[in-house]
Amino acid sequence: MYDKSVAVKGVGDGFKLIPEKDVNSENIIEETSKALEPIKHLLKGAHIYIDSEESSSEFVKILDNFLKNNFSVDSVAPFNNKDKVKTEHKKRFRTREAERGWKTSASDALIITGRVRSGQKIDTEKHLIIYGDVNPGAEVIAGGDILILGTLSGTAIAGQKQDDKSVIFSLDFRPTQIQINDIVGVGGERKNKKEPEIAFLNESRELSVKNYLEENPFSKLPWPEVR
Amino acid sequence: MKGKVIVITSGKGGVGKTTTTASLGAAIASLGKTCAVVDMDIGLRNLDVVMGLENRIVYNVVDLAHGRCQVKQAAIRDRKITGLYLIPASQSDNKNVLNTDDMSRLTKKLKEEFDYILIDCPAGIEQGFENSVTGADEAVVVCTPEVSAVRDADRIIGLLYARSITPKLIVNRIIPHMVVNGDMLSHKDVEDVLSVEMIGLVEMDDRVVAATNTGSYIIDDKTSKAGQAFTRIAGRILGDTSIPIQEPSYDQKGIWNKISSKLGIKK
Repeated sequence: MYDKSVAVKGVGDGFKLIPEKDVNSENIIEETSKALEPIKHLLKGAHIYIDSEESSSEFVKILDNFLKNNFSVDSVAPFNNKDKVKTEHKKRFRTREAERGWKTSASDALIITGRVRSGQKIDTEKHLIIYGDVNPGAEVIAGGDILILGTLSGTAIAGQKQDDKSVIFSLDFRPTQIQINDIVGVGGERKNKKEPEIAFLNESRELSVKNYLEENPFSKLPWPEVR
Repeated sequence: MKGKVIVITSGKGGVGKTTTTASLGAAIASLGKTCAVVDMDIGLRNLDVVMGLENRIVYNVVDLAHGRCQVKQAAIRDRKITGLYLIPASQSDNKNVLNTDDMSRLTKKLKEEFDYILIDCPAGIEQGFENSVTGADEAVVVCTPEVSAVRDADRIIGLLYARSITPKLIVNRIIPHMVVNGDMLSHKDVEDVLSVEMIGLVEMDDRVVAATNTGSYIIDDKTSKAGQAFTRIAGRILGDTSIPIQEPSYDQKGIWNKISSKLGIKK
């Protein structure tokens, strides 16, 4: 067994190096390489934290280049306290969410087929998806978004209650009235052209209705997210 | 004998339910079936006036439903068309005098006497509508090409579906030249919104008003487009699906239209 003047411990997404008191700036490289040699296959892309009471930052300067070149580690940083490990944990979790978040968290939606007629009212706390038309005089209310794969001619109320991020989408958008959270908008003039449109609240909390294909508001998101 | 009960309804008033009921009743009877038309607009009866039978009323539908008379006593035979009978409404009661139990008993009784029973439903969706729809096997929704009528018809169709009745649609009072100019909804627009089976398109026809006022039937006027349309609808109701639905056409007059249609600019 070798002389343990530099101890190695696994933390979070990397390793913690704990130099003994007799290690100084002269022999740190030698002692560290001695300690890391047996586990060098684990070091590629790892984060190294130096935990030394007085001279962490000094050792970091010395070891940074050496470890990156010889062991291809990702980063070398002083080990401050548990916070550091925690934040690194969060980052890791987020990567995982981006990769397969839709597998772990379910999105709630009520899906309906058919025509919603005058006098009928569809009410849900989830998102609402309708394969069909919403006729004049009909009312659809959702806790989240409302997506209508057909004509919206009735009243659509999304984001109940207090969800400013909800949207209302329809392939043929000619509502009597729309509402997102507490902001109400009245339907516009009759138009001849059928076009898919989306209504949302902009930064100043005003209702904005845009052509969906031209606006494509969700294309700016960096990765797929559960809504 | 096992008859069929057809309710004629619309939601909105004044779209031509009563005229349609009288015309279809007359047309069905002319095709050789026995047909009773029942006025359910209790308190506001007018089907008897439209049919010119107001001076013959002794018993009415309320008497019949409450068992105060026999079907034969309440049913008034038409003056001209054999096989056509009217069961008039009561003028002195209101719609709440009957309930749905009375109505299912009444329709059961009528089914034994007649081939077809047409029920003239009052406007609205209250007790009168409930009563008329109870016991109905089929429903015909009358709608005019107006946004307000379409809205109400849509509501009625929803209520009929909720009672497991699949309604059929008649678009009444189409004015072809207004449709061509884009001032009126076309029957296609109406069909798009309501999306139920269409069984007839009836044009606006001044002679319907004249016939209504004299107590004669528009189907007897062989030159009337509306009368012919009602005859075709009656045929479809009796099950002849081969009768085509004729779309109202508008013959454009005027020299410029004639020239441009010759040149192929306008159809």
